[in-house]
Amino acid sequence: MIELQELYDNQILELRRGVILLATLSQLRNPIYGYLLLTKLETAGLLVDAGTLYPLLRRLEKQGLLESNWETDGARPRKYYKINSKGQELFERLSAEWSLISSNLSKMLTKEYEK
Amino acid sequence: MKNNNLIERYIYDVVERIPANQREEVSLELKAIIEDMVEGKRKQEETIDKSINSVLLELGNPVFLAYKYTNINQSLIGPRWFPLYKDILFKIFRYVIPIILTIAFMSSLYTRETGLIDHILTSMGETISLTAIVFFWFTLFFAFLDRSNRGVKELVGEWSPQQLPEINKSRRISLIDVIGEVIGYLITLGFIIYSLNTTFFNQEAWQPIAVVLAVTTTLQIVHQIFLSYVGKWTIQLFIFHTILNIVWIGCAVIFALLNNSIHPNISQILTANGVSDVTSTIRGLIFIISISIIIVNILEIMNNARKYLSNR
Repeated sequence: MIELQELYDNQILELRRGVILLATLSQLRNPIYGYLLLTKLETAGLLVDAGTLYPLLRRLEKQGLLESNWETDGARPRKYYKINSKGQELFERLSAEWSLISSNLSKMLTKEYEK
Repeated sequence: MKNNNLIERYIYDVVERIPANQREEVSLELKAIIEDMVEGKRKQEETIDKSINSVLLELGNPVFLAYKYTNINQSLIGPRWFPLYKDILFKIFRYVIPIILTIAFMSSLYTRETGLIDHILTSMGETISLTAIVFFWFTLFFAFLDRSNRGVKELVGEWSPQQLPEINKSRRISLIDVIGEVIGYLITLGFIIYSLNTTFFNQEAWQPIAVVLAVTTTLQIVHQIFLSYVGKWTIQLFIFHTILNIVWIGCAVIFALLNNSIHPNISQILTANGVSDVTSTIRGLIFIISISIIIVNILEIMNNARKYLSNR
């Protein structure tokens, strides 16, 4: 029998996995480097695995949704990412869908449907 | 210095597992990321050692991080189980395909009244379909495992940065590698023991060969365990394993040269099934078994040589 805590942890992981793409895209309007993005997401209350976020950024770049460039002026070289037009379009569509899901789910969770 | 070395070793261990054309870029990315993360951790941790340790633990096992870098699409088997799945699958096919081919060839002999070429083609066709079935069920098993709540950690233990391999040396032999190899050898050992109870071989001629092969395979298992203990390929370990491979090749050659290695009943069964050229058919069968064993062992020697040379 699976413990409740274990079930909860797994579901939380799934939920976060589902929204990480949207959250990441939302923070990429201005150029940002990986670690700063990680801390911004954490500050916003979305805990993301570093080992998940960095490969995700690379994947999004490969899929042609982000642009990147290395900044070598600072104390150490950093790779900055920025959303491009294709990424922006995807973000807007996902964002609209998320709003719809979120609004419907909120109604369900507040039991309006039961009335 | 020691700490920086741990970061370099981590990066090395990740990029060694991804395609060569991505290594340089991912190395740079990881270096920048880890340094940023270490700096971020400095406020929370007492020492730089602890910061680095904490960051590497947060990034996790290099095997899984490398997997995330290499797999673009969501796959049937996730990063928790994929490395072990891939490893065992490779070993199963390496050892089992020659065996399936032999069995398919044997069953083809019993059931069809056609020439040698037809037997070989039929057995190859059956081998392909059996391989597809094995692949399907094996993949399905791991897909279920992946969807269960059992993590690979429960099997191979928690990862820690102290397990990272030295740079420019062969990758530390992981428990996953050892498990995969040992399973392959155990399957082989199982077939050897099973063969002692079959009427396919002439046991009088086969038993001494089987005993030598069983001892050799057991020594290969011991070698694997010792290899995991030492952690890397040394010249002694390479020579020892090569000797075991040569014993296998020698047994395959002796098996091919013996005139009485197949049970006499097989000739009678073949004749009764209408096979016209019994001698050629049996020679074809012995040829398939022997050549498969020789090829597998030559490949293994080459593979081990590569591992040893990259370790120097």
